[in-house]
Amino acid sequence: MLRIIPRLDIKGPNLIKSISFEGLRVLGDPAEFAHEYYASGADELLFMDTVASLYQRQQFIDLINRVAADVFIPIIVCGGVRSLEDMETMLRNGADKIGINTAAVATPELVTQGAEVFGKQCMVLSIEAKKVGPGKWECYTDNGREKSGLDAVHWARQGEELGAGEILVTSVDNDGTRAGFDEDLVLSIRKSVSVPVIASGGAGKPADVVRLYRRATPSGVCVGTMLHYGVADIAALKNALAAEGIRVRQTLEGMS
Amino acid sequence: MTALGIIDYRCGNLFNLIKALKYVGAQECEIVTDANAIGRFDKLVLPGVGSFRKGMQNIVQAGFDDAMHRHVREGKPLLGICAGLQLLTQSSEEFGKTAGLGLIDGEVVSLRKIDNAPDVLVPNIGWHEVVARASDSGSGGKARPSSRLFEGVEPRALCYFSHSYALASISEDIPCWTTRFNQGEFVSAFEKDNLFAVQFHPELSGHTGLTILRNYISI
Repeated sequence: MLRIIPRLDIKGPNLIKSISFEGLRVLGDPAEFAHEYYASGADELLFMDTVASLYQRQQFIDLINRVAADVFIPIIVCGGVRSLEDMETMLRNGADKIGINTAAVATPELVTQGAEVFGKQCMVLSIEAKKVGPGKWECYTDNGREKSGLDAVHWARQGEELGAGEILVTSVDNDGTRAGFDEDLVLSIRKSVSVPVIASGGAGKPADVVRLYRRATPSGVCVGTMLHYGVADIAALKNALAAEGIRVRQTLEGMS
Repeated sequence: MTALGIIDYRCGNLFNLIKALKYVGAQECEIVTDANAIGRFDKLVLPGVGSFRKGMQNIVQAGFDDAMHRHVREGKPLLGICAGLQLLTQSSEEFGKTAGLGLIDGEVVSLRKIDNAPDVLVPNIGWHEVVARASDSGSGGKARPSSRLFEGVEPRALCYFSHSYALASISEDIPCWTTRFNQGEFVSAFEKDNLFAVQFHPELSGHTGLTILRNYISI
């Protein structure tokens, strides 16, 4: 069953959206968007602290805490997690899973330690990849700003060995473009690991998700732009997927 | 309202569970860190994520094993969630064989033993159907009418799972629910007198999960 995961990129108090991680548009109060997505049948929510600066961190933690108060689906938190203490802080404020990218590249043991302390299912290796050649992608850190020299497919496999329970792969090139997913990237990573893969970056319309699923069968897909700008809501997206024979969770949420 | 204790044996984060229990009306829920305090509670929840062995070590070290046995013997309700379900069994093969609480017959095995197809993904993370065992309902796939935990829950309800091990099977005379894992299946919930357990996370399973938690606190 394919999980539909609204992705909320956060800067300070705002939900934002960039294109290929550059420039940005402020869209509004992330908590409002999050509650709407929960109520309309999201399977999970992903929050990305795009700034991850220490002085704005408390604001992000408070946001997660506020959203989690009446959202009863899993919450993945990414961005700015540098230590086991940071993970614990996020978990104590409503996160269910922790995504790490920059800190994992700098200190791969952090993935293993996190898995030992909080369980594998809590550790999501977040990979932000740019295409560098045919069938080759490089991992970027610091919200798409810094090259790491790591090959994305190789790093995904290594991440699984280190203890990551899921791999989140974002195409920096496609993110925010509405041009569809980098299907080759998702397929390459999907084939190289035996943990669930969540694909992110590029969904512009329901048909993009259908195409990706047929080609690469990820366990989850992130959708941002499509939902934030109202191209399709979650129900419409899931209906479109179900109509194509792709199994999704269709249910009324937030009715309790 | 009766006092509800959530057993904290330092395996996993209780924030979202407590939040969900309070949301559905368990205002008096309290974290229990001292096994001697268990007698004060009418109802218990045994949550948990992570390793069976470490969980069991912490439980025994704190004396929670005897206290939980006493609680169940007195006929008071206990709900195991996720690793909490697994710990109620006799043993798990996680990191070599480890004895569990033995409150229910059964062995916890790796999901790869339930289905070892090359394309199987472990951990098993996501939403899956929870189906009443056919022999219980007689009509296949319907929740048992007499179930207290699943009252008001639609048949084949979707719940959120996140695990690498599972209870493979359980005695035919215990009402249970199963979930498919590729070609195989595992026990995703059971209900035996005052002993209740779910492999999924009700606190993360939206409306369905909240209904199950609400049912438990009103037992």
